[in-house]
Amino acid sequence: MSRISTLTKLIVSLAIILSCLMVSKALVALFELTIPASVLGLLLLFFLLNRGWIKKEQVTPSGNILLKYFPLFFIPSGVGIVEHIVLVQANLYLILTAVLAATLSTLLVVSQLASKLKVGQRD
Amino acid sequence: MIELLFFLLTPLLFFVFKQIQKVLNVTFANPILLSILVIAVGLYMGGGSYIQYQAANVPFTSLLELAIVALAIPLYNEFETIKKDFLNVLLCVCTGVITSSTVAITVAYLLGASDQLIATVAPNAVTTPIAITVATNLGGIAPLSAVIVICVGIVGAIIAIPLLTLFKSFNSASSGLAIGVACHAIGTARALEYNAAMGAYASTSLILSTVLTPLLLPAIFSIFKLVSGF
Repeated sequence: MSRISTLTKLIVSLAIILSCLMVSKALVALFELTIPASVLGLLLLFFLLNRGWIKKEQVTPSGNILLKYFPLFFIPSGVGIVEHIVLVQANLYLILTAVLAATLSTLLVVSQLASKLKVGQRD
Repeated sequence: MIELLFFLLTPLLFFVFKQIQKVLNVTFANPILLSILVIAVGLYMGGGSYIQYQAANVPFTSLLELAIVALAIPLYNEFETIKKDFLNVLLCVCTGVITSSTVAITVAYLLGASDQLIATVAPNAVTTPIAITVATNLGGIAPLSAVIVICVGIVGAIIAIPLLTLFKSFNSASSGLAIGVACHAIGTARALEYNAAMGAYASTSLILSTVLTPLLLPAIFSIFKLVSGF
């Protein structure tokens, strides 16, 4: 009995997440939006949770599994770097400089701004 | 037969490297990066075809979009803690997203990078699955963005806290926000080790940048294209 209800919860939660994605895909196609459908789906699900129309417990059964194994879903895309080795070799210093400059400046700008705004430091 | 091997390789390597990281407990031994590198080197040396590997892994990659939707759950969890400071936090994360992409785009452009390479380095600070999505939409090389993002996370996790402690204004909330937006999940894991408050702000900032990066980056990219005329 409990095994059946666990399975039902898994299927229902997966159906909710899938519906959010499908609705978003339709919206993106219909209005030719530049935002990725998956991110619109994220916002849609957040909106439904925040309004209380969907309870967190209704999406966590499959949601937590998807989040736990997240890396498995994009490791194959990363392996595609094998097709761009020549490009990486030719532009290694360019990439390193651009990315390191971005990381350092972001760390400094955001931490200084947050300190000025006293985020998390109010009485 | 080779398809089955390619299909099993991804989870097998990932779980092995995850166990190794648990034992070693060093940021550098990132299981995602190591899995990608070992499979890529294996394909390269063994003369394997990436197209074949990719086809065998469609069951995994097709779940990527669903998992991105599921990120609404941690966003919902974090939302309670930042409600009172929401506008300031939002302003900081927006600034972070704009800084990281604008600096990367500008430096790459000045160093003579191609359009494709500029679009590849633009999403360098956001979590890997979003970087892949955004880079693809902008016409960049998604797998290269993925590797760049993971390296940024690792380097950030190592240098961020020592760097930020150099400032008199150092505190957990502002450092957490900076680390979450600049160094995504790998940096956030390090912030959580430092203390719970820094970890909470880092994961808030990580989640918000997940949402804001795909919203802001296409606009930033278009503006830059207009201004520089590349």
